Amino acid sequence: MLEVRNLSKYFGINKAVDNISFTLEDGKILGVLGKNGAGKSTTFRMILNILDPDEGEILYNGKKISQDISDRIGYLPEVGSLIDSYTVYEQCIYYGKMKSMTTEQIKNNMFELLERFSITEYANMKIKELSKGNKQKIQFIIALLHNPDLLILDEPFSGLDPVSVEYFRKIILELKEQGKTIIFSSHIMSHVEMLCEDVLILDKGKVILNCNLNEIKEQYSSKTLDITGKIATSTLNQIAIFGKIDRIEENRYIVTLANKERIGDVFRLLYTSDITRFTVLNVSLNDIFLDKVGTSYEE
Amino acid sequence: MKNKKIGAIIKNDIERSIKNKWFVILNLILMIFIVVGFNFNNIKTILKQNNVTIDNSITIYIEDPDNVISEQNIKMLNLDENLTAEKKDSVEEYENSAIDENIVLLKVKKDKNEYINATILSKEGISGVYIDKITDMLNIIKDNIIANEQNIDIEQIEKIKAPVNVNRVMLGDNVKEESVDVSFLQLMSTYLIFFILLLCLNKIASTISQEKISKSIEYILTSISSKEYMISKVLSMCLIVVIQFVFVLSYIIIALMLSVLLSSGATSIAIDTTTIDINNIINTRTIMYFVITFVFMCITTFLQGIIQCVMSAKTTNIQEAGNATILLVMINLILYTVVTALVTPAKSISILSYILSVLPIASMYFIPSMFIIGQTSIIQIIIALVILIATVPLAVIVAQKPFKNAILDFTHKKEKKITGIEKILSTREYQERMIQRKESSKKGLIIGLSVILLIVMQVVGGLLANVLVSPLHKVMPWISDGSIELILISVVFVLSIFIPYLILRAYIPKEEKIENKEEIKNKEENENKINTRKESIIKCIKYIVLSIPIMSIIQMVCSFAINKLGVGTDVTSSLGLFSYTGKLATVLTFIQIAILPAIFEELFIRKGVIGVLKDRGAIFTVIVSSLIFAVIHMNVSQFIFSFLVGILFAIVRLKTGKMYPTMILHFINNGFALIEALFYDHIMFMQIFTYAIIVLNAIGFCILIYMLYLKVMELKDKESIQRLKEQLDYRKIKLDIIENMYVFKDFTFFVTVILSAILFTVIEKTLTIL
Repeated sequence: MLEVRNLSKYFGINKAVDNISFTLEDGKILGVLGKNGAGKSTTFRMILNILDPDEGEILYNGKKISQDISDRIGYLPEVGSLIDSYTVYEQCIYYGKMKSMTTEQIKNNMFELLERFSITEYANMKIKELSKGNKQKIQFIIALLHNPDLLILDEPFSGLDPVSVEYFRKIILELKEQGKTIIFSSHIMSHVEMLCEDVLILDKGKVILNCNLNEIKEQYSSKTLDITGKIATSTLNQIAIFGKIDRIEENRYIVTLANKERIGDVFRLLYTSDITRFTVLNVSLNDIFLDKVGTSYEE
Repeated sequence: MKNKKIGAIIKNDIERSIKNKWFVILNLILMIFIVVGFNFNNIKTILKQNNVTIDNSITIYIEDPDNVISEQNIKMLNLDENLTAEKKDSVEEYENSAIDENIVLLKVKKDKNEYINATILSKEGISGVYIDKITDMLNIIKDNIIANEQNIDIEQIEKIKAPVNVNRVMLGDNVKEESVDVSFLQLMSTYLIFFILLLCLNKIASTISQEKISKSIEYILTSISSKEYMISKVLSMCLIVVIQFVFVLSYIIIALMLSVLLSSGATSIAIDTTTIDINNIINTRTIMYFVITFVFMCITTFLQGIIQCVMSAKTTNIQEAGNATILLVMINLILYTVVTALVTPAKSISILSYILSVLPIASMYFIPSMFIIGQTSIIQIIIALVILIATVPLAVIVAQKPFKNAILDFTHKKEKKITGIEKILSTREYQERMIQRKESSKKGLIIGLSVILLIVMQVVGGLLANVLVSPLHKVMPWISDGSIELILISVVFVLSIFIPYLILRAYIPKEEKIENKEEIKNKEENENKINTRKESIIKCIKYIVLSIPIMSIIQMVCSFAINKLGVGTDVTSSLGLFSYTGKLATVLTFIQIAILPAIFEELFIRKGVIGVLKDRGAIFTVIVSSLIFAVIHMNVSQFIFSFLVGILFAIVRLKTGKMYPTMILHFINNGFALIEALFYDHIMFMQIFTYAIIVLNAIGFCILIYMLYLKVMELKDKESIQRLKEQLDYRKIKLDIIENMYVFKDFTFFVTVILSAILFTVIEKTLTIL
């Protein structure tokens, strides 16, 4: 279990991370969302013990985080961390040794992972010969090389084609089933939505939202209805008591309810009308973010 | 567990730098170099034996009419198997271009003064060995002749010719006689230290910047701390150097073995020259020397490695990685030079070198070289060692934080004070100002650079001109010495101002010209062209006339002040410019003093400097340009005067927008003094001239007073005062002053200041001596 308590970090007068707290149970995925410069990478670096926090503390399984447990953490840095003149194998050896692995272990794990991504032929290629997406795959392999318990992935999907994204998604979900704890950051909402149960939204170093994704979606989504069909004016007037009605097309209405218990009531009122569609709208994470931060996220 | 990780880094680094094509290439070159170097003579003798050297055998034909060379001498020459000497009555038959390659002709004659006169003729160059043999023989013959003629014993002659035999005795405890081998050893080992250090620093710089630039550092630092990383990098580099050292040693051993192998088959002469007398070198003192050198070298290399780590961590690209070693290399080079200068066997060791010898880094050079000449005590070595060892952990602790910050690119910028300006301005205005500051600083660079160039060119050109005078006079004798000098000085003057002006010209904003064109177009349309031109001419004349009395006032005040202060020397007369005679010289003097400065100084200052600075605000431009105007005169007594006149000229230039008014004014100013000096014996002319000046001044004064009167009248009106106050935007002025100071923020300005300050003092001093 990872616990972060009142974490703060200053760069000069800039407060890069401002009093962040969250906990993450084993075997869960946490998605960290935020604009550029929101403090995502800084938080990760503090969890990884690269940076020392100015205030607050980080506990992993009840122990204060230190270099001793670094062998149990896997990390995929945001910026490419591969050395151009190394081959994939050499790179794995170099980083694997940093995680106290033996050469034999590294070799076995590397080939296993390369086969999984079906890029075994790259084992003896130099890093500079690889494309950006393949470099990202190698970085991912290196992060998983020592079979860590806690995975920290900083922007894992950048530079990947949709097929590879799907690959990554599958593997991440598999890892979750194996009981690994995963933190990952992204600025693309859909990536977070397809993977996470828990979301942490950061803005200017502060936590804006920290909750279960389904819960919050329920909170938001269940309030809006999309109804298509011929509805009598009297019925509309009755519905208007429960919430606001927007007529967006001739026979289409968006109903925003004040209370989600009213969905049933609205449905019951409509049984005489000639309805072709009745949908409870699923609000995207973008809408939630919009609601919380106030500006559109995906620009 | 951590030790394992450090070990892994070290292992990885060593493997990577040895399994590298450059390492292989370097070592191949080193090996070939060492092996060939050690076996050079052997290879030569082998080549000789295999009859490759048939061409090397030569025949000497000797023409000896005075019978100087005896049969015995010839026999001596013939002892060498490659040499055959033969006497001939005349060698003329061989004296043509078709001479055989291996025939050498020797002509010997008696000479009254030199005793012997000899000539050696050959088609191509011959081996120095044979030449030496011939000259040796001739020397012996000469000695004999002298001995016969002067009745001196030959031994006496040899004593006379021998160099002075100097015995050096050292009174220290452990001093033994120093041999050539030891000093050779010292030299070689210092070279080696320097080479090793360079290699080490370079390796550290390249690996650290590589890992930083590729951001691999971020991954590595999750596993180990930055301190451990730093230490492991330094250690691995030191180990690589040790490995390289071992390789070099192995090459030397190979080379020595090879030389023994080869020389056993070759003639015995080769062994003498190649193999070093090992017994002579290896004694307790040299062993101690090696131990001390090694210990100091290891620790100092480690220490310097840490410093290098911090500096390399600050680099952001590969190009910078190489440059980051410059500082330490320079320090080492300086220390090396200081050691060779301070620590020599011939001199007693100064206190300075004792102090330096205990300081870390410096001790690496001082202790061994002081030890080898027997000037160190054990206590000194121990103190130096303790200090050195104590610095290492200190350096690690101190270096840790900046290293970490630099390598992760997390700069802790100091808190910026939000001053008044930043509060007033919007973000965009502020950012624009920041850009402007950079631009200002660039302007400072340009102006500073051009002034430096000007001063340097003038000084160097002056020296060159002095050197060139007499050779040019030989070529062109019809021109007098003085005229040539004057012409040269003028050329130097023009070039030294015009070339810097070209630099400035490239940075003058071009808007001015475009504006003028537009104006002209407008004028054409309005058909007012002639009128406006007339107006501008009148304006210019007005300013010229107004400026003359002000100039006179400045002149008077300055000469009074200089006389009172006593710093003044009449520059022109002490430079000897009026000592030239002849009409040409007079004309040239006139051109050199009155016309050229009027054109070129004005061009440089009033067009160049003012043009560059124009958009920085009028007050600033006026002050800076007149300061530079004062500086380029390069002497103190003219400084104040030229500064004040510079202000006046700058105002005139800005007000009229034309070049020629200031040129005329400058010409009048310079010409005035010159005419006085040139025509001091033409009383009539001088009287007329003086009257003219007085009249001009009087007219100017009248107009000036009238203008001032008008201004005062205008100021009496309260409304106009109010208007004036409104015009003066204090905030803007304050901002402008702060912003303009950035022009001085370039280092070239400091160089300019130092350069001109030194020049001022030097020139003043030489003048007073003269």
